Amino acid sequence: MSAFWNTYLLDFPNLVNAAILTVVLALVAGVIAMVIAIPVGFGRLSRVTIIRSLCTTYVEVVRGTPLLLQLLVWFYGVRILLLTLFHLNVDIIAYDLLTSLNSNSLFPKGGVTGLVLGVIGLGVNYGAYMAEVVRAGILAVDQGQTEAAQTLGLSRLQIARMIVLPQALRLMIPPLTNNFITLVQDTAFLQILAVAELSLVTQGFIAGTTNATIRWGFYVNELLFYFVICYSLSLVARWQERRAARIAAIA
Amino acid sequence: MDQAPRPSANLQATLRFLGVMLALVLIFGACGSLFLGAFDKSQANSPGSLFDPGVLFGNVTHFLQQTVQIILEGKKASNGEPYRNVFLTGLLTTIQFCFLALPLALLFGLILALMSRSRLLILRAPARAYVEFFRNTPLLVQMLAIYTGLLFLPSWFLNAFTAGVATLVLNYTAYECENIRAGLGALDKGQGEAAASLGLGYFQSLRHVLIPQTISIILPPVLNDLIYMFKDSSILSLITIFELTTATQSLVRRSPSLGWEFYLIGGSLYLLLSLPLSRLARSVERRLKSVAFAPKGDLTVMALEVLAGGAAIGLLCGVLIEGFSGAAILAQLTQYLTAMLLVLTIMLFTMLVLGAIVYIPASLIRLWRRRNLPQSASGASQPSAVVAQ
Repeated sequence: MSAFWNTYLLDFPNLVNAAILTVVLALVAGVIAMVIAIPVGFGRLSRVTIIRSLCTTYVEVVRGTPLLLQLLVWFYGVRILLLTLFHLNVDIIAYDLLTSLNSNSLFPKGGVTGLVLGVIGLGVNYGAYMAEVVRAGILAVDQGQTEAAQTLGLSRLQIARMIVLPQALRLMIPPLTNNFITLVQDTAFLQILAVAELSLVTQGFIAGTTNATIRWGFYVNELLFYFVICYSLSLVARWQERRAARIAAIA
Repeated sequence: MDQAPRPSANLQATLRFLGVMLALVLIFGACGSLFLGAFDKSQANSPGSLFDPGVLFGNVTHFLQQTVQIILEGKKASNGEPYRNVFLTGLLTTIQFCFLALPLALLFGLILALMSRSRLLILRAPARAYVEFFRNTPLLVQMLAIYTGLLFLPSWFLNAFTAGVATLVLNYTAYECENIRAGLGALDKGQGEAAASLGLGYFQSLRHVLIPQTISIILPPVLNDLIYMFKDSSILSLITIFELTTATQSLVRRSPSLGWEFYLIGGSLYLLLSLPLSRLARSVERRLKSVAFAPKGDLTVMALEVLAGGAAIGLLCGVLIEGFSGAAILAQLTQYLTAMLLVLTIMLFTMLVLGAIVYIPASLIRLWRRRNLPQSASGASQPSAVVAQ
């Protein structure tokens, strides 16, 4: 047991760093997902057939295929495609960017291609799921609100931005939090793109030993980290749900 | 106002429809062919600009030709195995794992749901702890922990197959437990009381009154979970199981010049199964909502038959992959039973450990609260508890 504590205390800062990276990755992917989801959510309700069908195609294709396959396509397909067609190398761009900031010593040894493409892939994947949430939220806003805004003479864009979206966002918070919980869990997939997040770092420590105590110590630590992050988020989601129900009961 | 629309209006509507269709075909065709051309160009390194229609046309036809060749003629890999068979094996393996895991997850989920509805803390605490733990940790990490953490078990007990089935079952048990618990909770409380007043015991009222009504409530979410499992089973590729994602990726590794074709076919195979399933789930949901759902026959028995049939389909897929023979059937059955045993072992162990972690502090808090209650309050609560029992 003391063998475990020795290695564990030594590696604990690395594990915490990896956990922080996991949360940051999830946050970035969540922001990308929301940026995609809001226009797509409105687009799925659009009157224009072309916009509607494009948005529906995106949502159905992304939701119908597994995240792992999508990440593999991003890493082994899209990376090569960018490289051969546009001579676009994510590593070189990131390195030049860091150089222009006078801090290219920060550039990680393994490169950042997996990280960048993986986060974009996660964001695109969750964009489709969150677009469904956005669509449901928009549909849940009372039709009378839109009609009242129309009688006030607001344009369609103004109605969407000032009347529908603020009310829909309040309804969307609990399901979006639930989506974010699964997003935090799915950052574990980025380990196949060699992103040093919590799961891969733990796996690295585990591969270095055959001692079952040390292995399970690290596993328990990893599961505990994920559990603490996700369970606290799910408590937030439940609290928000209760609050939304209370507001609905008053209104 | 009631007169039929004038022919010119009719013509206008038709023309409008045709115009929209044409625009749709043009835009989707343009986007699609640009993508396909880019895929082909990145693999073949062919010269010319993609915005040159002739070059684009050539690229797209080349791409489609190769895709069709892979599908129809079974274009062969270097070792003589047709690419098509690799995809078929992968697809069968994916179906096999889903159909083997979901019935077990539903059965264990029912047990856990009953436990978490129990009034006894010693039954409720392990079930709740199990569900919260498995819902709040990543499936991928659970799988790696089971497969690489339990290496001290003998290999007949823990191998890629049993670990894969066990991971899916353990994770989905938690989700199915929540579904079933929500379904049982949605029932009118009077149902259970009426069953009790008729003199039915606990299990009789479950079998004849509660479960048949719950099934119609939980059917849509369970179908949705089947779709999710269908996609989640792709993680089994990390423990060397040859399912659809592994098949696709191994083909891409083997012949990178056909990479995008393989990705396209693999993705379409997933879509081909998950899109009809989600349509089915939606129509089932609408149907259960709109019409009074009153099937003839015993619903509990029917549900059990469906579950057994699902497991049988899973076993059949496994046998088909191995090659049809008596030995293959026997091997499949033994492996399935071993996987069940592994699931039970891990489940009991986690419930014991997590249940103890939750139960001991919870009962201590309860004891402490009871002691701190004023005498009159505890005296008043005592008879009501007796009445409730």
